[in-house]
Amino acid sequence: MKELKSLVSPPRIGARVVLCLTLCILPAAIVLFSSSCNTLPVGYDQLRDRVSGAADTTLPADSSSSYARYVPLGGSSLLYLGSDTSYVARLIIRFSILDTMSLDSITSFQLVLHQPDTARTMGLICRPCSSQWTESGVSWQMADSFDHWLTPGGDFLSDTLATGIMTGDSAVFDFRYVGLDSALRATIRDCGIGIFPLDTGIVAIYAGTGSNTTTTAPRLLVTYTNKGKQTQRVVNDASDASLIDTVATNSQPFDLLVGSGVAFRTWLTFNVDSIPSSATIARADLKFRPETKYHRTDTINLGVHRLTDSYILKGASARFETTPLATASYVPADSDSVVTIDIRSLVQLWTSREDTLPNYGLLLEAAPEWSPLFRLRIPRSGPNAPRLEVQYVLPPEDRFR
Amino acid sequence: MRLTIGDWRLASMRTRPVLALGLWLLASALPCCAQSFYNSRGLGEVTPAGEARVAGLAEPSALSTLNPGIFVGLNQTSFHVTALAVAALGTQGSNTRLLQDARPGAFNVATPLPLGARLFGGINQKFSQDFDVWSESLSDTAYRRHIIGRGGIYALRAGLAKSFFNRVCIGGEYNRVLGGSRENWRFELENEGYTSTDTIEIDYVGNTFRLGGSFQNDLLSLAGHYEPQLSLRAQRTKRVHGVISDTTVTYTISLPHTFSFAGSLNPTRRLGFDLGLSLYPWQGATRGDSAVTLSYRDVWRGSIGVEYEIDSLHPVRIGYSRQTWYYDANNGYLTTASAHPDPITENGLHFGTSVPIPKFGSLDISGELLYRNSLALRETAGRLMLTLSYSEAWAKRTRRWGY
Repeated sequence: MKELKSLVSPPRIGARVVLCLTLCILPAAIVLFSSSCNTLPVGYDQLRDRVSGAADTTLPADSSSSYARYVPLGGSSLLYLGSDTSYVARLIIRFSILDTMSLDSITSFQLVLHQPDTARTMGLICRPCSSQWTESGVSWQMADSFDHWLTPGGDFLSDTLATGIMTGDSAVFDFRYVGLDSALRATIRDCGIGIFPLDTGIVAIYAGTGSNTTTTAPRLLVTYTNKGKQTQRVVNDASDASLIDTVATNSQPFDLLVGSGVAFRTWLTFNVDSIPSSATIARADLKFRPETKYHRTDTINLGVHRLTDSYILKGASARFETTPLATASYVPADSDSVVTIDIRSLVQLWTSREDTLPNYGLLLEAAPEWSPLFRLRIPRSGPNAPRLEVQYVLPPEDRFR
Repeated sequence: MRLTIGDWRLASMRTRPVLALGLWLLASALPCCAQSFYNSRGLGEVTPAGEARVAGLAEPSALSTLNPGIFVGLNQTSFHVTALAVAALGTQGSNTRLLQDARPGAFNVATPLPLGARLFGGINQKFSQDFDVWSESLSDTAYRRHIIGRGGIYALRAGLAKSFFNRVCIGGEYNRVLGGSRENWRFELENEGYTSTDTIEIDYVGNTFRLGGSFQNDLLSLAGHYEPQLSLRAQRTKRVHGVISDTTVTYTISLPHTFSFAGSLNPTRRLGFDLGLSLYPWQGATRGDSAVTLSYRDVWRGSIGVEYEIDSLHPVRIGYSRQTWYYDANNGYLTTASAHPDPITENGLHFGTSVPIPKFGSLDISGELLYRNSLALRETAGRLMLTLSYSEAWAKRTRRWGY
């Protein structure tokens, strides 16, 4: 009887009521909370008659052209040396040689180079460079951003500083420096050296910039006697760059080309006047299937830039935004692959801000242009030619119609 | 004794208004989310009168302060504030989603004048246009939209009433109707989180009058009010991608008149029954000078409520309501509603009570469960309403109770 009383006593009843309420309310609360966090399309049907719908359109290129440019390649992590049917490449390096260096006790002065492809060999010869240059501006034609070489491909003296064969993962060449007269040594310190190929074919050599570590960068190894002991000292490279030319640049003037080394750029315009300015661009893909003419890399990176000047008026001098608006990768080994570049934001600008951001077209180029050598040919017409596939959605209708 | 219609329990100006202000600010600070999945259509949901006491009786509009002739026994300057919290669980197919909303509900103030006249005013929401919906998931399409609607149409009210013989009251009020809605149509893509927003803004302005009256005695009370045609001037601006503005469009929305009636029977001192009926003959609603029909409906709302005082301090209220909304749901046919009607029906269960606050007034509490149904969508809504009333009547009682 006491137990029965205790069961129905107010505290027990209260506890049970609280327990029952908790068991009932807690699951309901969990369900409600989970429902409040989702984004399911409940109620969207009530707005469907206000949605104007979507449209798909495919636009062919309205105009297209291509041009080549010698561009600075100092930012590359690889230096190219050699020649083949498409390119001629040499490289220039400047070392941090102190003019106060004592030459009396030096027993050897050596140039050390490393290459990623250990199977390749290349005979080479080093000569002093006779003009000053800057890494950020040097190209086949230019010593820096403003000054041309006296001779395209660089200005060099005829003195031979080193010669030998690049083989294996690294090679060491005896470097003439100690025995030179002081004027020539000063020229080497100020202008650096040029390295020329003696064989056909192209090898890549690690540069001292980019992601490369100093252990594989070009350097000078100086051995000297200090208190009777042989001591070595490393002189790192201060700057380096490839000087690359291409043969028969204008041999196929009607081809649309994209390439690195000697930069090939392709200009394309698409007439987007048929897309209403109020449309939201849901998808805008630039598509084409290129033909690989040359490549020294498994993956090719392409970039799209917005032109800020009219190409029709200014041609190859037309300015463009330096930062690529979109990039895409292309695998040359996959001949069936189609290059697809998402340029939705660019098309949105063209359609909705036509008054302030005119549609001068886009520029397709290597990303970056100092990337490993490649060249693609883009068909001008046919199913593989550039096309712009656009899907857009019109703004909603009024609440009261 | 059970309170009659005219026992409008609002606050005395001598009591502490700080608490009322605090409640109002608290309600204002709460995040305003969404209220109903159906609010994207028409002018939105007709918002209930912002009084928890009336809401507990299934919201007979003619018994609320929306009736300018309700102030039979008002003898002190008083006011009340209401906070409203709403949660709506929408179900469509196998999908379920919850929306929630907390915001101020209404503010009312009234004062007696000589010769039985009353001066009153307030603000309340007439239509709610809060909603929040997503389009298809990204697994179905390359993009989706998130549409967020915020806003509503409000009435700034001011009026005069005259009480006769402490039994009858007639009154009229002027309503300055204004408000606005802002719809953000956010466009989201799967890649890079790219988003653009199309915004549709509508500002509403209008004027209307309302006439009402009531008769009250201990046994029976009758009340009713009438609102003539409401012409709303709507100015719409559309902004696409946040950049392009198309031309501003102005049009007029005309809502035909509205009637509301209610009756209350008090067989005993503790027990009362209330009946309410509101008529919205809005089939003739038009838009623009060319009188384009808005395809609204002639609808009614009926309610029945019971109030019982457990003791003189604790009344309990329960009610049931049924109504059809004045506009249809979109059931998937992109044609006029009249061709494929999909009415929204609503059944509601209402309950409430009051908590006296000594030397202060009362806190009226109501809870409502509303089940809305259409072919396209089901919605179960819960509404919690709190009304803080400052009433001299309570102060008198507290003295009687020994405070």
